[in-house]
Formats: sequence, C-alpha cells, structure tokens
Amino acid sequence: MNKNVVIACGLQKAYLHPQGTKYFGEKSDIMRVRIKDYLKSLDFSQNILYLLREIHQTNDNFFSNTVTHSIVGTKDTEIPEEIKPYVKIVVDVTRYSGFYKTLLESELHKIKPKNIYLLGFETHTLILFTAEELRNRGYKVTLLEPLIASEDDYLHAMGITLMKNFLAVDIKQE
Amino acid sequence: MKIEPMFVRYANGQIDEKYIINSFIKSSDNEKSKEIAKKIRDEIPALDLFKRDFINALEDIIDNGINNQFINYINSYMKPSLEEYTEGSGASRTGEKRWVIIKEEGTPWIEALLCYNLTLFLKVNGLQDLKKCPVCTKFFSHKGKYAKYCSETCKGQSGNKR
Repeated sequence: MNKNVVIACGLQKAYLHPQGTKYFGEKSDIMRVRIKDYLKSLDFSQNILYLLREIHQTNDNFFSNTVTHSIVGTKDTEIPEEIKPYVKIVVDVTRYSGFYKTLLESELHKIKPKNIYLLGFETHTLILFTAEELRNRGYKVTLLEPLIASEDDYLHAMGITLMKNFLAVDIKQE
Repeated sequence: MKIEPMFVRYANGQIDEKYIINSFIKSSDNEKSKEIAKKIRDEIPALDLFKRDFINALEDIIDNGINNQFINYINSYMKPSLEEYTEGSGASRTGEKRWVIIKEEGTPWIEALLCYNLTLFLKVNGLQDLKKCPVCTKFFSHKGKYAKYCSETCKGQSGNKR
C-alpha cells in the first residue's frame, strides 16, 4: 500500500531557535512544541518525512531583497536537536519552491504517495510555492494548519487563502 | 579503450538500475547492504525522473561549473543513504581503498551510488575531462580535457556537416 509523505518546511534553527535570524518569539516556541509532538506521534511505517531546509547564498540574485537568513554555513541552517531523531532525508532548498533543483520531484514520483501533508515555515513562501508545484503534478495535498506559520500574520492568512481557494489544498485544523 | 565510469554509462543509457544494484551486490562486503540491495532487485522503483534530473545536473556542471545547488542536490541523496569508509594512505590516493555501505532501507541509495560515483570521479579527475559530445549527445570522460567529440566517427560527422 502506498505511504503518505510529510513535507516539513524550514524546521531549522533560523525559525525555531531563540538566536535564529527568523525566530518569531512565542509563535516559534508554540510551533516547536506542536511540531515535536506531531513528529513524536507520527507512524513512520506509514509516513515518509522529508525536511526542506532553506539554505541561501548571499550572492543569489534571484531574490529582490538581500538574503538575511539561513545563509550557508551559519547556525540558522542547523536542525534543532529535538527534531533530528525524526529526520532521515534533508532536502536543501535555495528558492521558494521545494522542487527547484532538488530530489523532491523524483522521490515523489518513485513513492507515489497517497496523500501529502505540509507543515512548517513560512506559509506564504516555501509552503505556498511547494504546494503549487505539488498540485500542478496532481498530488492530493493537506495543510496542517496548526503546524504552519509566517512571521507576518497577514501573509500567513493570505497564503492559506490562496492554497485553499485557488490550489484546492485541504486544510486540516486539528 | 578506457571504460567510462558508471555514472556516465548510466546517463548514456548504456547501463540501467538493475546493473547498478547487481554490481553493488557483487562488490560489497557488507552483508546488511547486500540484503537491502537484494530486496529491491526484483521491484526496482521508477527512477526515470531521477535520470532526467541527473542528466540535467551533469549538463549544468559541464556548462557552468560546480555550484552550491549541485552540491546540495547530490548531498541530499548521499547523506541519508550511504556511509563512506576509507583505508590506506590519506596523503596519497595510491593504494587507498574507498567503499560505501547502505545506511538503511527506504533511502534513495541507488541514486546515491550514482552520485557517489560522480563525486569520486570529480575528486580524482576534476571537471575538465567530463564532456558531452555535440554530435551524438552522449557524455564521455576518456578523451582528455581538450577533446570535443567522443569518437573519431562523431568528429568525422561534425566535419561533414560543415
């Protein structure tokens, strides 16, 4: 029987560690606890986890603004100790889509997942653009709403709205 | 004639995934790795998209050199899948023995073996010998850094086209 795939975006110190460049304070702390509980309860015989880790070059001229976080070689790109035991495959991403020059497409093609669950950071960037690529390829995508966040609440809400209303992504609220 | 490395033959369609698995089983001394490899032999996963991406990655490094995206790409396969061991002198590659074992089942280790083969090639030869023939579009690495065509036949055909 085909397994599910869980794509965990940005579970790295940039977002989850108090000294991370993109640490959101209390929001990050809540997410860290929720995500850890979720991973702890995940049945890994039925689910395959991929961690998408943002890793940027300061001279990547793709971005309109200067890249200020998750610079290659910094602590931002490290995976927190409490997350590490659950992670087998780390996919380093350099753009907003988890598909850009990564193994994700060929891995999903190989696995043919029943359902794909998305969680992590940030709703309006890595999660949104990866969800779009997944839907274009016909995958059934479910967003685990309590386990996603953006620094900006407006952009977070906008990301969810776009995914729900325009990409037909299922939203799971529990 | 020098035999092309495994990753070149794979990209050129001269060998397939089954050949890679069988070669690994034959050459590995690690029983656990052999067991993992044997399990998958009769039900090889669909690697057509990997092959497409791998060929694109080869073309990209030939045209633009090695960049971080390429390193990230091959590391994503190798890190979860393979453990490398070395034996012999660290100062010289002469007499040095290198081998890998499969870390665990369910990892993309077939793809990782090809990436590992490519990284070993790059470590020993550098990028300068890896080419893509403009006539037959096959990759080659046996003709030296100044070669443009993979064979005299392709060189001749190129001359005829002019």
